[in-house]
Amino acid sequence: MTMSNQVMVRGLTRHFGQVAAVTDLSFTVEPGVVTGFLGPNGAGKTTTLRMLLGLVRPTSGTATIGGRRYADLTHPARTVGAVLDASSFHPGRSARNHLRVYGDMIGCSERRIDEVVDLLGMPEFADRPVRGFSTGMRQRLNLATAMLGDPPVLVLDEPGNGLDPEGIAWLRRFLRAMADEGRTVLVSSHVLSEAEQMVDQVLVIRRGRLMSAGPLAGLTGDGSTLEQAFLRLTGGAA
Amino acid sequence: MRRLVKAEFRRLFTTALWRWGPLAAVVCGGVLVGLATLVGPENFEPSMPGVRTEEGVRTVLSLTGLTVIVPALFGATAVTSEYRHKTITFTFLFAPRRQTVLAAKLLTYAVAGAAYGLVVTASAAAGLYGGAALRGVSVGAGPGTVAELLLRLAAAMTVYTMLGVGIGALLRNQTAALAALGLYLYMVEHALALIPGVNLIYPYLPGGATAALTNFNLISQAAAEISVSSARLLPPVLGALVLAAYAVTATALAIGVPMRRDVT
Repeated sequence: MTMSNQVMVRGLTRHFGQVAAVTDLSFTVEPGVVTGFLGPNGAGKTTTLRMLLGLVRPTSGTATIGGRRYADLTHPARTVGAVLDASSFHPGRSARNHLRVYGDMIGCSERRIDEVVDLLGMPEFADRPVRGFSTGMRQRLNLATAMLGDPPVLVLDEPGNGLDPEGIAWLRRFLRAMADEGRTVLVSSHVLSEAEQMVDQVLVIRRGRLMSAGPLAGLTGDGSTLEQAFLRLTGGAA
Repeated sequence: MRRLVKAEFRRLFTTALWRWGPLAAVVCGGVLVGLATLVGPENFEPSMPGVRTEEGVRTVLSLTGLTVIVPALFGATAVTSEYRHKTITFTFLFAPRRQTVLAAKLLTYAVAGAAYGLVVTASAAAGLYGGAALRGVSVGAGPGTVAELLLRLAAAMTVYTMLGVGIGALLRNQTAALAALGLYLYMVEHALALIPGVNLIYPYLPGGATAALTNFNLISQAAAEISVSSARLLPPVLGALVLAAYAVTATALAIGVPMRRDVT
């Protein structure tokens, strides 16, 4: 696996006024596996991912992809595909036109738009305005946008939120396929039962600090569920 | 940059908003000027020279200058809509050098603003000549004078669209942009124009510069009647430069300050 697909966070810290959202966070995410970034709501997951992607400025520390900060990447959207909001679309624009706008920004062909529409199983609703979309359809459009540049790294903030069981199963297969292709997949979640079926590696964060990092089996190897292990780690705070 | 501009044009033309542009332009241009010509400035309160004089022609055409808030709001939407629908997250992910996004928006909306301005002025010309023909009065200004005045108005519309982009980037919220623009253009500036002493800076405010560019302004005329020390407007070219300076300042602020803010 190439170094260029590795996500590296070192001493990452962010304070919002008096509140320390993230404190001295360090971890590495490797390609070829699905890494779960787990923690209760408000643990600092979103702030960490937004710092990794240059949307929020760290108070101190670094977050790099292949050794470079996101903003310094030559082709950011062709290196990292990211989903951060449940729905970040203009309601009046069709899914296909949404993809075309962002495709234009990085020089995607119309063929690539068709490819991601097919990849995410969206041909039936791609030409409809987003305002009528279900949560599952929006999540697919999010992932389609992230996949436009065929990026080797995926960073997804709570992609399972609001999905029905069928949607969760589909998401699990999708993430697995992406990791099997050698991509780096970092996916946050606060729903442990869902994450347990989805991830190989886990990073557990609580109150902005890393509690545990390693293979899922290391946490659940003693026969406990991820939830039990998690509650043990976080002192029942979840 | 070419890619970002292409994306901005697609962004503009893939929602319904732009379809209201030509309609708004015809209302702010043709309908307004046509009605004013039909009524006749000589019947305004206070009475003004009629369209058979050059001053009367300037009066009716310059009414469109009062509608600059429309292109300004249209420009503001370029940025506020992205924050409202959170598409700004994807936009900054796809173009982390945020100033390039804003530059592309300014370029796109300069073209769109100019197109809007041309529809306003073309329909205003139709309103003027059509209204005059209906009333059976001759137009008291040559085609060259009318064309020049209309082009100046179109230039003002273009600059206000770009100003709107800058204000949208600063405020990020459409209601805030509407409130700020409305309060400023229709209250604060008029108030300043009426205060003796303070009104000396009026020629350098956006409204004063617009008035200089279009060579006419209802407010400065009203101010001149009330206040003895009403400041003289700048020459048209200087007025255009002052307006352009506002657009550049708004843009520089938009790039320098809020574009560094966290996107959460």
